[in-house]
Amino acid sequence: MADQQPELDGVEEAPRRSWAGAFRSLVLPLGLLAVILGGLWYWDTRDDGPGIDDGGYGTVELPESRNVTGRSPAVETGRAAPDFLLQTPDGGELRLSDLQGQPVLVNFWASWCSPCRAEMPELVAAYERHRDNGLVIVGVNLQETDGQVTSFAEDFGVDFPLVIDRDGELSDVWRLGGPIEGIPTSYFIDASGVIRALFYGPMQDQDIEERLAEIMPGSSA
Amino acid sequence: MASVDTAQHQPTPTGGAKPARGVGPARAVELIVWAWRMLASAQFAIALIGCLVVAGLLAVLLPQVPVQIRNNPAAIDAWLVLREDSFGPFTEPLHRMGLFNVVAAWWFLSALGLLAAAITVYVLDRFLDVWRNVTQPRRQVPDSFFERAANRVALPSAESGEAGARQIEAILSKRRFRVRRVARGDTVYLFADRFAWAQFGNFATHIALVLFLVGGLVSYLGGYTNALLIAEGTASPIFAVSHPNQMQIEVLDAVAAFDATGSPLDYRSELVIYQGGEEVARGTTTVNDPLLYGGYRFHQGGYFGEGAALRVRDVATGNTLYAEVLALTGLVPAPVIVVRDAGGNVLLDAAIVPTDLIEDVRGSLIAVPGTGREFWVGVRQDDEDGPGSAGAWSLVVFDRGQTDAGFVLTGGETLRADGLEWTFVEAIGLPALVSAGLPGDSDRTQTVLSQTPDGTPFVTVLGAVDDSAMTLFPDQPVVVDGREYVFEGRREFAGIEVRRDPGANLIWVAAGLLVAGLVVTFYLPRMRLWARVRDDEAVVAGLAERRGVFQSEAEHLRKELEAARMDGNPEIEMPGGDMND
Repeated sequence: MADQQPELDGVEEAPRRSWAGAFRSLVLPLGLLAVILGGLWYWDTRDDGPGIDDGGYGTVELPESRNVTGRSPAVETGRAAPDFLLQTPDGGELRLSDLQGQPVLVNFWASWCSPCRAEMPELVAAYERHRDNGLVIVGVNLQETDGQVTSFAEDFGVDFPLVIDRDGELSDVWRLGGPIEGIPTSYFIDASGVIRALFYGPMQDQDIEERLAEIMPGSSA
Repeated sequence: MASVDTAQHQPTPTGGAKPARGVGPARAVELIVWAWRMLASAQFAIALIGCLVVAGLLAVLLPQVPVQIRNNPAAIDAWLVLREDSFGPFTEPLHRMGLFNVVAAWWFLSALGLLAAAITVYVLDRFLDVWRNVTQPRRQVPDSFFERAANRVALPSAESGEAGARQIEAILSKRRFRVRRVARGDTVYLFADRFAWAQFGNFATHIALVLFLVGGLVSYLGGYTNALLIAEGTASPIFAVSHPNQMQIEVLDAVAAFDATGSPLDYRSELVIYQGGEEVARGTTTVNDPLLYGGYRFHQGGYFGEGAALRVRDVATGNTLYAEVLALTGLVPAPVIVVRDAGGNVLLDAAIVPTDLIEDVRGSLIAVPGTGREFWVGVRQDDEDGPGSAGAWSLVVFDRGQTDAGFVLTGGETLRADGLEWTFVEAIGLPALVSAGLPGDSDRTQTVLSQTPDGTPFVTVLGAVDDSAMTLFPDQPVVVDGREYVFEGRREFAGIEVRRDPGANLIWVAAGLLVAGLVVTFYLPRMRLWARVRDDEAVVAGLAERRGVFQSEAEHLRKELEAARMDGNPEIEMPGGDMND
């Protein structure tokens, strides 16, 4: 980048650097770079979708009156289950804390998940066995369409409530799959809203019954 | 364009008493200045590049953690154990230093970042001087410059003084020089500048280098690649579980075209992209023409044609118990046989799906149509002829009614036995998969895909019920133990590669800037000329990136002036008219 200058013999000096000049000279190349980067950003994101709008659904604050533990909700055994408000595929709503007073099994699943498909008949059968004892199973679908969820439910004969986590927010809150981060993952919540057991991976009949026994004392589970 | 400066602008020099500064701030300023000078130093940049080259050599010489396991600590630990054979006790220290993963090592990334910062500072540090030099070039030089400049030439002039200067000015203007003229007494000084802006070409190349580094960093930090194998009629998420940008890809149709030799001609798939519970994109993807959405590219990356859709329902409730599209990635050997009667009529022409394994023979019990007879037909691979060579296949046939009367045929061989003519055409591999989860009596089942002579596909499921074989034709359910088994048909798989490379456009722009900068620098060099015209002489001196350029221009100027003198026409038409005044 050497710039040639004629030798000087005391003829007029070029204007000396001033802060204003320096500012202008810095702004120009940085501005040019900003324009390039901004243009690239626009080009790169011009066909981006609008993103996922969860419409205000997702994790909500658990009312203090419904937290019997006195500690903040967390996905651990012995802690109050984090509350959520989600939409059902038919446009309705379901809030987890509204189910207090009943034992609840929260199961995270997706139709593209092969182990979830293998597990679903076991959940359907368990629900048939224990629904009269008050058991509620809530199937939380991960980010699929209403049609995919409804079709899956019809195929597998699912008649317990299904809700959809549109933006995947609950995945982090509920730490799906624990260290291996996967589904299906199931949480067993007693009638007071406290998590008593959890299970990572597809459950067999025995796995379900053993854990239901912890949230349904006195039942045949 | 030429103009006459009657008065030079004299900027007011900055100066005055230095402001009093405390020790702390003074040191801080000195530190900043020191850092700025170091980053602006070409030697520093070269040293950094040298370090990066050495790091690159180390990455070549030392084994590097495979890309597939770089995010899996357990896999890395297992990989390191294998390296201990070569590096012994130094394995762990080398790993801690990042020498087994050089391009992701903090010091390597830091050096790259420092290099980007150094180039940026280098550009900024020199930009002011170059900007001034371009926009406010030195228009006058001392007379001594005309005596001492390396590039100078005395020119013949048809005219003297002002007229001679106008003559030279006109010639230079035609040569795309921007000319300015200053008269001092009897002497006229000219300053001519051409391609002044070409000095920015150098900046373009430096900015390109910065953009290359930034592009690489952006891709490293924000890039995403995932390869998915998705069956027709099914969907798959692009991220493992949940993600703020989670999308599902549904493959409506996967198509492959092959030539007569079986080589692929074209792969394409019809895709639907879902996000947030809505369909957001739909279209065709190919290898070179991906479907685009949300900054992601969905390329056709592969194709697999051997899939089987199986479903099992509970007959009592109608509920689905099992629904999978199996990718039959394995092969089982099967003999292709033709059986004719005594009159030469073909009774059987099919690939026999093996359901049993007797010693080293895979075969099945079959009924030969029209004969009422059953045979156990199997295929066996003979011992290898030698190292590296596969043994030939043989057909083994037993008549169920006469188990001691079997025979063996080699490939292509025909044999008549008990009124039937047997031909062993060849042994082929049928797509198959051993899988778990199919409702039935066994944890593991084998599914084999085949087809009838008329092309109807069917699957043979081994081990699902009573450890026996179950043959399923499309949409012809088989009910066993209250379960309905359905083969829903053959399915193809599309290999979809999902990519997001936010640095790619930066790299393209960087490449364009680099080329533009180099072209400008090498083919449009800046040239500055100063001329002094007096009554008795005209001297031109100049600065050019290359000496040859000055000599060429000087020669051209000399010829033009001589031609004007010979013609006796001192007036040379000014391009665009005389705008000196």
